Amino acid sequence: MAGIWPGDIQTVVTLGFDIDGVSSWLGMNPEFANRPGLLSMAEYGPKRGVPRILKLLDDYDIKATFYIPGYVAENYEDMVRDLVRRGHEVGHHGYMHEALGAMPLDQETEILERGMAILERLTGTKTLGYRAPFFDCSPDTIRLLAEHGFAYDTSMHDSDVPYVHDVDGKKLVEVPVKWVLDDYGYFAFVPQAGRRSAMQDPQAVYETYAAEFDGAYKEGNVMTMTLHPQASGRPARLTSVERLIRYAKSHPNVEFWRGIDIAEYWLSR
Amino acid sequence: MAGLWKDGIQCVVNIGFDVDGVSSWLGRDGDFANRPVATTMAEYGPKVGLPRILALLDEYGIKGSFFVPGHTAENHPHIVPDLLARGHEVAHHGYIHERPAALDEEEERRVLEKGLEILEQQSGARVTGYRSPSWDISPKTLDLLVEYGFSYDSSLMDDDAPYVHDVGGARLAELPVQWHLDDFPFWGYAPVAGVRGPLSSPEAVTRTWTSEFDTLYREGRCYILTLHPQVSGHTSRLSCLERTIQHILSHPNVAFMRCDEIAQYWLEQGYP
Repeated sequence: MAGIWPGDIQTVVTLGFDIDGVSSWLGMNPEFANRPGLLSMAEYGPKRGVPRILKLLDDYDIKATFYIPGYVAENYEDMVRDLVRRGHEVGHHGYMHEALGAMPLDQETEILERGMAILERLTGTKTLGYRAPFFDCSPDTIRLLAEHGFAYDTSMHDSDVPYVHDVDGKKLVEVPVKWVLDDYGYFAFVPQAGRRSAMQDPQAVYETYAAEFDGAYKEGNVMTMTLHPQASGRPARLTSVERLIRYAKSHPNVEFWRGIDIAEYWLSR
Repeated sequence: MAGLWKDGIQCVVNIGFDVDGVSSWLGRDGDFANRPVATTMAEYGPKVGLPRILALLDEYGIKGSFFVPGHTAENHPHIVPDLLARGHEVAHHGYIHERPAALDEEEERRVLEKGLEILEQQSGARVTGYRSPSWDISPKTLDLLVEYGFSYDSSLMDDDAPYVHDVGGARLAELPVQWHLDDFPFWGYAPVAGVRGPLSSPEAVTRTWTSEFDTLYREGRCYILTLHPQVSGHTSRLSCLERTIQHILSHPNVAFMRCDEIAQYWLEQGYP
C-alpha cells in the first residue's frame, strides 16, 4: 500500500516538548506567584528537565520541536538560543500559556503577536509552528495563524494523519495530537491547583506509547508526542520516552521529524 | 459449572459501542461547540475510530450493537445505513446524549421520540433497543420504554445476566452493564470538561476485561462490553478490544450476540 510519506518511510514520529515552566500556573491563577512550592515544581522543567531531554535527543541524534510560551522564553533566553543552535525547532505556545477557547479576538491576536515577536527576536527567524496552550483553540485560531504566516498548527485531535486547513486559499497544515500521547495526564500532580493524576508508573506509560506506535506504524500514520519537561523531564519518567525512541528505532523506515519538517513535506506533496 | 444458557452455550458476549461524537460534550455544555479541543477530540470517534472498529469486527466476523444519539446520526448520515449493511444493530442513545434523570417526563418523551424518528428515518425500521446516556435513567424511563415499544433497556447494573422487568404487566428485558466493562472510566480525558481519567495502560485494562470474562464464563453468565469510538478508537486501546476478543474466542461455546438478539432470546425462548 502506498503510504503518505516520501520514499520508504512508514511512520514519522515527532517529539514536541511544551516548555511551560511557571507560565501555565501563573496563567491559570496569578495568585500562584505567592506559592513558591508550586513554582519550584514548574521551574524544574526548564531548569533540570530540558538539559536532561537535550542530552537524550543528542544521544539518539533526534531533532525535536520545543513549544515555548513567550514568558518562559523571556526568562530563559539562553535556553532558546541553545535549542536553535542544536538544530531543534522553536514553536509558539502563547505568552502566559493562555487558554484561547473563551477569549475575545483582539486579546487572542495580541497574545499571538507578542509571542511571535519574542521568539523571532531570540531565534532570528520567523516562527512557523503553533501549539495552543491546553490544545484549547478558539474558533478564530486557525484563521489567525494562517493570516500571520504560520505553516502549521498542532492542536487538533480529529485525525491520525496530517491534513490541511484551507483558509481563504492560504494553507495551514495540521499535525494532529491526542491526549493519549500527552504525558501530562499520566503524571500531573499539583495539589495546590487541584491536579491529582493517577501518577502512572513509567512502565505503564511506555506500554501505552508503544501500543500507539504499533498502530501508527501499521497504518503509516504520524505519531505526535506532547511532552512537558516539568512532567517527563524527571529521571524515571524520561525512561518512558527513551524506551519509546528505542522501540521506534528498532523498526525499519521510521523517522523522527520536527513539526516544521512535517508541515513543509505536507505542503510540498 | 452449568450456567443460564441453553443450546450448549456457556457464555453470551455482546460488544456494544456508544457512538456519541460531540453529542455527549454539547449535551453537557453547549459552549463546547466553540472549543475545538473538545469537538475534535470527540469527532475522532465517528471520523477515525469507527471505521477502524468496523474493520476489526469484520475481521473477526462479530456483529455488535451501536447506540447512536440522534445528533450523531444527523451529522453523520452515512453511519446508520453502513452499520445496518454490515449486520450490526442500531439502537437508541438519546438525541444529544441527555441524561434522562435530569429531564422531566415531557422532555424525556420528546427526546425518546426525536431519537426514534431520526433512527427510523435513516434505518427504515423502528429500533427496539435503548441504552441511556450516562446510564442515568429516571424513575419513569422503563415505563416510557414499554410505552414506545422497546424490547430492552441496557442501563442498569444490578446483575451480570439479563433479566426481565415487569412493567405494569408488560415485559422489558434488561441487559445489565458495568462501569469496569466500559472504556470511559479508564481513558476518558477532557480537561476542558473537568474529566481526567487515570489513563490506564492497555495491559491493565486488558487484564481487567479478560479476567472479568473468565469468571462470567465459568459461571455461565453474560459479558457486555461498552466502548466509545472516541475513546477506544485509538489504536493502543483498540488493541485491548482485539486481545479481549482473542481471549474470548479461545474458549469453546461462546456466542457473540447483538443486544436485540439477546433480548429476543430472553423474552421469547423461555429464559426466566
